Formats: sequence, C-alpha cells, structure tokens
Amino acid sequence: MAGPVHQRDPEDAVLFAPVLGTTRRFWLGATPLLAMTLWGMYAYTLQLRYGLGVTGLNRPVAWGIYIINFVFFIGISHAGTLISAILRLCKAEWRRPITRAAEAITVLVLFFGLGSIIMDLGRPDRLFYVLQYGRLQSPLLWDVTSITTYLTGSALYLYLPLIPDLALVRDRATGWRRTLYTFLALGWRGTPGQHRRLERGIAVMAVMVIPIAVSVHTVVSWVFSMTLQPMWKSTIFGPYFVTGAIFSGIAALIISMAAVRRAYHLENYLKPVHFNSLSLLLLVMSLLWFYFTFAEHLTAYYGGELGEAMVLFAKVTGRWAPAFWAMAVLNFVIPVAILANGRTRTVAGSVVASASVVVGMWLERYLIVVPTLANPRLPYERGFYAPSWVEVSITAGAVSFFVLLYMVFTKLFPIISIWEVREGREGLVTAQERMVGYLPGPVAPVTPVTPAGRR
Amino acid sequence: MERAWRAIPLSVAAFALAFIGWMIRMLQLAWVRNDSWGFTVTVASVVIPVFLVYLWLALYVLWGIAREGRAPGGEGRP
Repeated sequence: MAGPVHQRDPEDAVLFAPVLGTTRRFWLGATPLLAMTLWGMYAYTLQLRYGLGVTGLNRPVAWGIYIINFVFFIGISHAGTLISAILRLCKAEWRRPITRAAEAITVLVLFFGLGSIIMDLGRPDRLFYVLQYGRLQSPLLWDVTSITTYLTGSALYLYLPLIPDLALVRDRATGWRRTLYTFLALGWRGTPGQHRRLERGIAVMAVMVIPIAVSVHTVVSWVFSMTLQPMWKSTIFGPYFVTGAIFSGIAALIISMAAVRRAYHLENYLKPVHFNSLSLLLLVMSLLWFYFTFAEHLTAYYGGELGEAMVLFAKVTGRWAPAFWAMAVLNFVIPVAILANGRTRTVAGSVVASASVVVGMWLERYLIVVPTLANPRLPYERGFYAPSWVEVSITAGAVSFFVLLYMVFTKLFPIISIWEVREGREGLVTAQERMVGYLPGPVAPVTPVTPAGRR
Repeated sequence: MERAWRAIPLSVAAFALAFIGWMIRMLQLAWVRNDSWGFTVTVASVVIPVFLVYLWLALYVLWGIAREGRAPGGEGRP
C-alpha cells in the first residue's frame, strides 16, 4: 500500500492531498483567523476580570448576544447530522460527497453553542452547580441534557464513517501522521466482521440521531416558550425553531461546501448537482420559514393582547423595524428570488442565497430574544440593548475560531468520505436495480453502467 | 499501539456510564427532596436508554472493530 499517492491512486489523490500536506495558502487563511480568535480571547479575559458590567446587558434585557449566538449556533448544528442521517436513510446517492462536511459542522459548532452559554455566565465556575444540584424541572437543564446527548451522538456519528478513511490515510501517511491515524483507525482492515459492525453502528445512529436533533432545538425553543413573556409563549415555537435551524444549517453547509470545493479543487466531487439539490431544500425551507413567521406574527396581531401588541409593533414598525424587514428580505425575498429560478440556481447563486440566509437567521434570533425582553409584560420600564465592543469581539472571535477549527479539520481528515464515494461507484448497478424496484410495471432489463466522468 | 486502540471505546463507554450515573444522581436528589420527581423521571426515561445505546456502540461496534484489528494476519494490517 506504500508509495506516492499520485502514482498509486490518481483517482482520489485530490482527496488525500490536503491531509498529507499543507500549502502556504492554508497558513495565509489561518493567520487572520487565529489573530481574531486571540482578540476574542482577550475580550473574554476582560469580561472574566470585570464581570458582565463590560457587556451591554441591563435591566430588563438580561439576555443578549450570547444567548442569540447560542440559539444561532445550535441551529447551524442541524446542518450536519440531521441532513446526513435523513439522506443516508433515504439512500440518496448524491449524499456521498457531502455527509462528512455536514457532520463536521455539527460537532464543531455545538461546542460554540455550549461555549455561548458559558460566556453568558458572569461566573462560569457556577456551571458545576448544574451538575451538582440540578433540578430537572428547569428547561435550562433540559437544554444541558439534550445538547450533551446530541453532541455525544453527533461526535460518534462523525467518527464511525471516518474509520475506514482514517485507515486509508494511515496506509499513506508517514511520521506523526501515521501514528495519529493508526491510533484513530482502531486497526481497521476492512474485514467482513468490521464492516458488519460499522454498518450496524451507522444504521442505528442514523435512526437515533434524527429524533435527538429535532428534540434539541425543540428544547431550545422551550427555554423561551415555557415562560409567559409576550411573543415567546407560543405552541408553534418548537417546529418554528426546528425549521429555522434546518434552514440556517443547510445554508451554512452550502457555504462550507463551496469553500472546500474552491480551496481543495474538489470540483469533480462537489458538483453543481449537489448544490442544486441542497438549494432546492433551502428553497423549501425558506417557504416553510416564511409560513411559520407569518403564522406567528398574524396570531399575535389578531389576538391584540397588550403585551404581545407592544412587542409586535416594536418589531414591525418601531425600533426594530429595520432589523425585522432586513430579516424578511434576507430570509425570504433574496433566497426565493435566486433559488426559484433555474438559471440563477448555480453554485455562485446558491452561495449568495446561503450567505443571505445565515445573516437573516442571526437577525431572526436577535428579534426573538431582544424585543420581548425590552418590552416586558410586567410593569417595568421598557429597555434597549446594544452589544458592547467586548461582546462583539467575543462573538467575532468565536466565529473565527469555528472557521479555523473547520479548516484544521479539513487538514486532519478527508472532508469527503472516500470509502463511501468508492462504495457508490462500485454499487452503481445496485442503485440502478433499486431504482427499477421503485417503478411500476415492466421495466427494460438493467444494463450495467460505468461511472461517467471517472478519471 | 494495539493496546492504545482500546482507549477510544473505553473513553466513550466511560462517558456514557458517567452520564447515566449523573441521571441516577438527579433521580436520587429528586426523590430525597421530593422535588420535581415527575420531570426527572420523564427526562431520565428518555436519556438513559439513549446513553445505553452509546454504551452498546462503544462496546459492540468500536471495541469489536479494534478487537478484529488486533487479530493476526489479513491484508492492509498496519
């Protein structure tokens, strides 16, 4: 199995190349991200030293950018495991090159979701009180439980399909890389027994992870909807949050796929058809998001309850109107205009629509958290919230650190599941037979196909 | 290195057991204090089976793969 990659395995050499070597471009991209991360860490040390007084949090707006980021990051995490599991269970063949990129987003971004909660605590050491004296009557503790369950499941679901690829890289690597991959590959040799166990594990996790992912964002929504706050107490908050999460998750996945495609020259693997399929999903989610947003705001308007009306009008025509209408344009008008048209539903078009959705969904989280707290139902004074430079720096640092970690992941592990792509190529006849099985009536005999465009 | 492979399934199993232990501790606290018993039982009855599946995954899938990796012979052995 030894020997230079390009001689032995020209077909997938481009997939091994980023793992087995590092270019100057990588360091050029990583350096500003590292600098921004260090700046964010400096800002956090200030917050630790001087307390939450350095933030823009106040009475009555006690939740700000950290909680917004928490909901946003947990939403983005729905990109991976959920989409990957659904596509795996449906045996969607086009999933093969995209599942790894999606699953990696989930695991990495979940750490930032949890990190946002820690940042929101003036005394992070008090997190241990949750473990020592937790009361499961609190939706906040439901969150701790469900996110830990999701993070563990997602990490396992990322690791299992990685094992055969780790063995492939192990057989090509030298030095410390070989030691690392030998350890992580668990002695994978591709025996029938190992395959049987792996496939059983992946199948069980694919089924299990779907309800877990749905429950996580439902529980996140319950943190809000279990209160009596205006425009939070809503029975549709669970599905509304899950829809928003999948929506923003698909957008993040499209952006990351386009980035790795360009950076590592993966045009032959991440083809326009993959972007087209995900773009259509994004389009459907955009329409679904609009439906939920419309229903949520219409019921608040028609009910006319004083507390709800105050929050609603503050959003639609008041102080937060620019953010509200920007959200509507970014989440609905732009993506629908681009993605509903086949001519603009290109790779570039889907990236523009996705970037619009990511920003729009962050605004949506902002508009859920802040206007309600600023217009309390109880007879307190109305408030306002603007994040301080410390909060903005910490957020910028967190986003940079996430992108940096994702880049490091693509350097350490193949970002496209090599063994699954090969399995797909070898199983073309099986896939064709499966398609014949779906069709009614007599079907012409299956003719063996050869992988088109195979180089 | 073959001994080191065990570290991964064992860490996953240890984490799953620790979380199950924490849920049992929550149940015990709720019982002793007579406080939010219903919520605790509901959450525990969902979470404990999930972590038992993770435990199965560590012991059957990961440990099994590592054990077969240690078996002598076979192509592509590291």
